[in-house]
Amino acid sequence: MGAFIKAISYYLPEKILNNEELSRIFPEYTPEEIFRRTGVKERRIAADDEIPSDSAVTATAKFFEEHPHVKKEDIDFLIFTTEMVDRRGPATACILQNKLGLPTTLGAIDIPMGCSGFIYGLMVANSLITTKVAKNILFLTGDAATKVIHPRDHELRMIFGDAMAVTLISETENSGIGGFVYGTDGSGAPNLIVEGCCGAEKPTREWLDKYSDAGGMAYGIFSMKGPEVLTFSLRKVPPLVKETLEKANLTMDDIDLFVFHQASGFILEVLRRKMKIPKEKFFTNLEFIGNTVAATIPLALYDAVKEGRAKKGDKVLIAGFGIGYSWGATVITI
Amino acid sequence: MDINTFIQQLQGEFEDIPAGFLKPETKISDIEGWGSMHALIVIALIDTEYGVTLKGDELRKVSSVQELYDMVVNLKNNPE
Repeated sequence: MGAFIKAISYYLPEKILNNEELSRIFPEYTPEEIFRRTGVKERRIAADDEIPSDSAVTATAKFFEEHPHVKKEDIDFLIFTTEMVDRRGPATACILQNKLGLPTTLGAIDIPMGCSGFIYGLMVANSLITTKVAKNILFLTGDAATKVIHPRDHELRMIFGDAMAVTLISETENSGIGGFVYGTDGSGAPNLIVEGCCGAEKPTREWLDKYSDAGGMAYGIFSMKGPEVLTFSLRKVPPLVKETLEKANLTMDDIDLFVFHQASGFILEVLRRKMKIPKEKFFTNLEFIGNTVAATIPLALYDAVKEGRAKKGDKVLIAGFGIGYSWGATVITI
Repeated sequence: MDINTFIQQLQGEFEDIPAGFLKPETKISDIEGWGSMHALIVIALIDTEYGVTLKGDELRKVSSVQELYDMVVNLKNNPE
């Protein structure tokens, strides 16, 4: 008995921020240069009053429309992976059970993780299914990073976008999800962090006043030390991939497609070259989406299948890495 | 490895730096428009060419091209 990814769907907010508009805001960068630096031409921005749980409701409605054979009453577990939960309590997954009209017999948990969130959620879902706790898990992953980016932070605005993915993980005879390799190094937390929020740094009147021209930045401010994050990625991702292959008894040649967290075009290309992965086996789709944090991997898997880059039976190595620092990877069979 | 090759490699990565501008004594802060993107490119280049993955704060400590080169040589010969 094992688990497999049965279906994926995703939702992007309507509002588009393209490089031409960014270039008007930051005239020192041309649209072409922004693309060259980031690999991104457009990103989607959640509406002012749209938080990730709202996106989750829209994305799930779309999922059930696209997959009419999936019945709500068959869902026995709900996992919501985001770094922007609704409240300190209750868990957003509980609120979503009700909003989505899912059975009250299901289990519902939040996993507040970012770049590695899809891998960690998949790891939990796989464990729940293989231990016979659940059979059909609705796994929602996404974020609204643009809400914690200061309007004057050109680097982050060029990279990040908002999205929500819905993945159905179900029980199967032959497992489609391999062993997991993972790790954590909290000493990297200051290099990729949301400051000025929650328990560690309660929002103050001074903070709200200081950022009043940016709407108060009440959700906190996302800060990234780009060079440190690149160094972390260069040091951690190649061994992560190597160990994941070893665990699966596979070689690089056995993998049909590599789908990494879509961090930035620059980081992905440096990693691809370092690991000597042929371009045709390396999927990227951030050109019109950007880095959507926990949503990047399911968005990429969906697009890879749609574009015929991943076919039924293909082995795909998926790897998530970033904020935490936290990382993880596995090999899935499409 | 030698510093002239190192300078040529750096020069190859920076389209916006005029040919011949980079010398061992050139201060990194004197490179026009030096910013975090340049830091990313330098870290990636040194990782690819020399197998040394510099940290951002290590890169910030060096002031000249010569110092950067010396640090790479030192880290390559004395891996952590």
